[in-house]
Amino acid sequence: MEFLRKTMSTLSDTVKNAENAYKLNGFRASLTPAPNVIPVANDQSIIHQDFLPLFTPLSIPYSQLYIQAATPSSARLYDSWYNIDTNELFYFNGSVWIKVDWTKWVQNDIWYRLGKLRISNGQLQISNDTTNWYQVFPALGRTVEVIADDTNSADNFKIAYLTVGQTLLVRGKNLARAAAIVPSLWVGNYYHTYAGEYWFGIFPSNVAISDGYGSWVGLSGSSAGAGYTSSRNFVPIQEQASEAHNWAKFSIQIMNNKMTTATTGHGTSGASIDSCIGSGTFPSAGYFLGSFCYEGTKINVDYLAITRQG
Amino acid sequence: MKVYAWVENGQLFTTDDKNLAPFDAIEFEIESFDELIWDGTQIRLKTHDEKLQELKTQKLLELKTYVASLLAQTDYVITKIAEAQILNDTAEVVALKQKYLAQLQQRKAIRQWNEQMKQAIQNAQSLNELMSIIIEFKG
Repeated sequence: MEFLRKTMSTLSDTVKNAENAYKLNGFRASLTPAPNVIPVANDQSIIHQDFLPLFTPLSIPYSQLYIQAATPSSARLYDSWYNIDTNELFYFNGSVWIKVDWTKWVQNDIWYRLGKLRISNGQLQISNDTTNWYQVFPALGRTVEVIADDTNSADNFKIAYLTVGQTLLVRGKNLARAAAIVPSLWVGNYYHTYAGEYWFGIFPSNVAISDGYGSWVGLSGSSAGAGYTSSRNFVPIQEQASEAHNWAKFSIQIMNNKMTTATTGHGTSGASIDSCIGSGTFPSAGYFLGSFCYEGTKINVDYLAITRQG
Repeated sequence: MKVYAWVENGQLFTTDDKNLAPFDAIEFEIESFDELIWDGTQIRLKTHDEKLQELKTQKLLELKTYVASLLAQTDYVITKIAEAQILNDTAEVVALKQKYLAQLQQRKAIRQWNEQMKQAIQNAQSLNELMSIIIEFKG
């Protein structure tokens, strides 16, 4: 009888322990994330990554950023969604949207410390002159592509905020939708097929200016040349080639209320190289990189990536 | 396109995004950002003469750069002759002039063409006439 009582007691403890293994204070434990779930490591002692907080947006390699109220219907793995109604940021893990706290890494930004980036009423806002404030949208991903229609003015507000190290990818678009103010440093490269032997450039923050100037030195075959341009309504980037085959590596600096560029790329035609510099006023109310142009006419770039360095 | 223009620190700014423009920006309907000018007292459309003069300046700069790149290809000839002259080597100067006769004649042709092009640009009376001038030496 005593043996039976002891056996029943042990069995009861085992059942209780088993229950405790699945629930704690009423919360269920699981290998996969869900609301109010305690994470459990898998058989290789690895906790599912969706349980882990993202301290940096750079953990994800590439993400398309949707800025809208409705849940994106055609999201792909690791796409980002900023809900403009709730000011919440999510990424798609392949099946569900995982919420991310974006408010921490923005406070680590030099612009935040300079008082030019702020969180106001739950929104992330930026200002170059600390007078005109614009909402910008945090994004996940080492490389970010903003989903927006450049031809629809209702999409003009869709400007991504990139932390240092994040890259904006522009594919077949005109606008470089990355928040940019004084001070900032950027590096990038591009390829486009718009032919023309004169200046490829950028309207800073999509504003035409009047003091843009550029200078180039080049080598075509064994023949060297040089030239300049001034009083332009854009900031020159590259004196490019007359062929539908243009590429360059470039930097953009926004300092001292100027946007400046330094570039090396394809020039004139054939085996030609041009090295260029450009400069122009960055508008006091400007808040993003801008729109690309050829000789002051807006054009799309086929493939361009630009990374915020500082 | 509809644009918004304003002046800040004596400089003209124009954008097609109303959110970027200050409240007192002036609205214009234009084809290109290039059509506006700040003349020191007001923002207005450029006159035909102003557009013409601007394009002439641009074309002349383009010509100057182009001619410089053409001449640069045979600059070595001039350097060799100049060196012989500095050394008072008259025989060498004569020999070099003979050896590089074709290059020297081409340089002369480039300079003559340059003068003709300058005149054509300066005498142009319309934007169409000016834009039809192609800067390409075929000598």
